[in-house]
Amino acid sequence: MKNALFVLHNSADTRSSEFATLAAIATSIGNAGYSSDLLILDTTGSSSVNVKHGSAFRNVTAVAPDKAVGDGADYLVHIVGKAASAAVSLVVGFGTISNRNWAPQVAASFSAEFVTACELIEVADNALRVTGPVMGAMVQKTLSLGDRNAVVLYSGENLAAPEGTDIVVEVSREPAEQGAVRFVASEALPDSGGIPLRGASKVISGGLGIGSGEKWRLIEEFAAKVNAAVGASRAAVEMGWVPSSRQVGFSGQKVSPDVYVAVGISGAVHHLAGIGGAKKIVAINKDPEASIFKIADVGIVGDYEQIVAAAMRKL
Amino acid sequence: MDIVVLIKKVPDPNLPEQFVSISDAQDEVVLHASSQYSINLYDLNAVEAAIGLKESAGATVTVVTADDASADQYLRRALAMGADNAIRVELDDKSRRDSFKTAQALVSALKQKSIPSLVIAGRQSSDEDAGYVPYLVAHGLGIPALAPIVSIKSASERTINVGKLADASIDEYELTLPAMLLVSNEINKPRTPGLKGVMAAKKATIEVVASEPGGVAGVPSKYSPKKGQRAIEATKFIEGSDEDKAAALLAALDK
Ligand SMILES: Cc1cc2nc3c(=O)[nH]c(=O)nc-3n(C[C@H](O)[C@H](O)[C@H](O)COP(=O)(O)OP(=O)(O)OC[C@H]3O[C@@H](n4cnc5c(N)ncnc54)[C@H](O)[C@@H]3O)c2cc1C
Repeated sequence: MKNALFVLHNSADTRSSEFATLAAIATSIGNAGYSSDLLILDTTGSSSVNVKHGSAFRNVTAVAPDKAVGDGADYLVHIVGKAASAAVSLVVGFGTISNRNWAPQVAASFSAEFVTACELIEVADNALRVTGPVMGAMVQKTLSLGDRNAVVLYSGENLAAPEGTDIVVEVSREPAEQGAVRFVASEALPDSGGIPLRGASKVISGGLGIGSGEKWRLIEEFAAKVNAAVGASRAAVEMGWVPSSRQVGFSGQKVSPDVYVAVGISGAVHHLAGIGGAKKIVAINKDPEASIFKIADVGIVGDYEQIVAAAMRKL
Repeated sequence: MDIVVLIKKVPDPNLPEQFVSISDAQDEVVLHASSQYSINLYDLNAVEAAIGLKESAGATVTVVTADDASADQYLRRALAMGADNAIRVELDDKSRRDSFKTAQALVSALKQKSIPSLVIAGRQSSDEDAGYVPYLVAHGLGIPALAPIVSIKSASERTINVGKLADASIDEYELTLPAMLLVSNEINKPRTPGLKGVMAAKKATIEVVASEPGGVAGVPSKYSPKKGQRAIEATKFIEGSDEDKAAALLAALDK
């Protein structure tokens, strides 16, 4: 019998699909002899958390810090480090920016394998096999974990919830350690804010084809009008039009929205690596040969400025 | 301040797909013989950040890589940008592909000197994209790490204040030194070295440190071709005026 610890940050932006996906993984690795606990960092401010599909876990705990800790990137180094005592051989979280900071530190302290962007966790021969993209998503890499400890960040598709029930857990205070890393304050990002990319059901992404930082506004305004999150190609991020927390793709975030709209994005493999889970893809590009059309359900050839402006007038 | 920058040679990130294949035993990614290499791009941001600190607060900057002599050109590039010293930790190809062995080699080389007050690395390398080695090094040196860093606000001999990217904000943190920072491209625009720097770097001595990679190793990797492209039945192209296209866009968005 092996123990796994799942970690989820529950904030106002957490979707029920995130609870479902973790519960599904916990249930499937049960077949390889893992018993799973869930540790929730709760920053909603409420005194209890309704844990969807919580019965998939042996034990669920929820903690909140006694003071602001930002996105928990350092706070969780200590909290997960403590919870994942010697008896835990697997830690699982999502591939978020915050998790990418604490997870490798926890992994290093256990000499564990660390998988940054795992898209598949399978049970084979009574052990786990984890797979994710490398080399700009041109190649897949698989590790057979055997008896090795591992910390795995999952960025694969949303998974369907297993059978089970919701449970409610009380939130307990876990003080932030006075360590060498101290959170000072948060400052809003230089974008218009809006719906976070993580878990969004609609995403409007812009690429280099948008043309300028001024014109990028049109993407933000359009996204706000249709209740979509703003996404971006790396080229748009590199131009400084949008912060890198909005980057979609191999080295950015993986998204699985119902509708993904790619505006002025050519469709490089690195970008496509982030949108494989989208249910519907709409591409707007002035080049009819752009590779983005090869994977788009709806293709719109033309100048995005005219098309998006016309759409804005109709709203 | 005594700053160490970790850099890595990587395959050219824009390598054409047909140059990338997998060995018959599936245990290796094989690159075509004419493949180009470069310095990992985030590492250039790391070098620039260190040199920026040297200029603003005063520091000695040492660039370090674990590789063979083929990586010397990237160490020289960092020297040309303004780094003071360069160290190559000699590490064979096989060990270099193992995060644990690479980190052990770097840690033992760094421990031979005094522990630096600040270590800066790129947030991830463009080949494996794991972003693990800097954290293993930080663990080996017993220092905290933080990523992804997008700004350095102030630095003293004892502390450094940085901006860390979060989902919807930039969070300021104060770290007590020594510490490890993993930087992202937003932090700066790496300078192009001037001719004088390039000439001096050509003549500079690169210190070579031997390594005996022992200890923990990673589990073997197995490689397979990338996932097939997203399957679609057929792309429905919208014909007509911009108005028609706009209407189709809104319909797809349920508006
Ligand atoms: C290791 C590595 C990791 C990477 N990770 C990522 C990642 O996570 N995410 C990512 O996106 N990229 C990533 N990249 C970069 C990727 O390879 C591409 O360079 C990038 O996605 C290109 O961005 P783009 O499509 O916006 O720009 P371009 O390829 O320049 O495409 C711009 C498109 O806009 C169209 N266009 C121009 N004007 C208009 C107009 N007026 N109306 C309509 N269309 C117009 C053009 O026809 C063109 O197709 C990575 C690269 C490497 C090497």
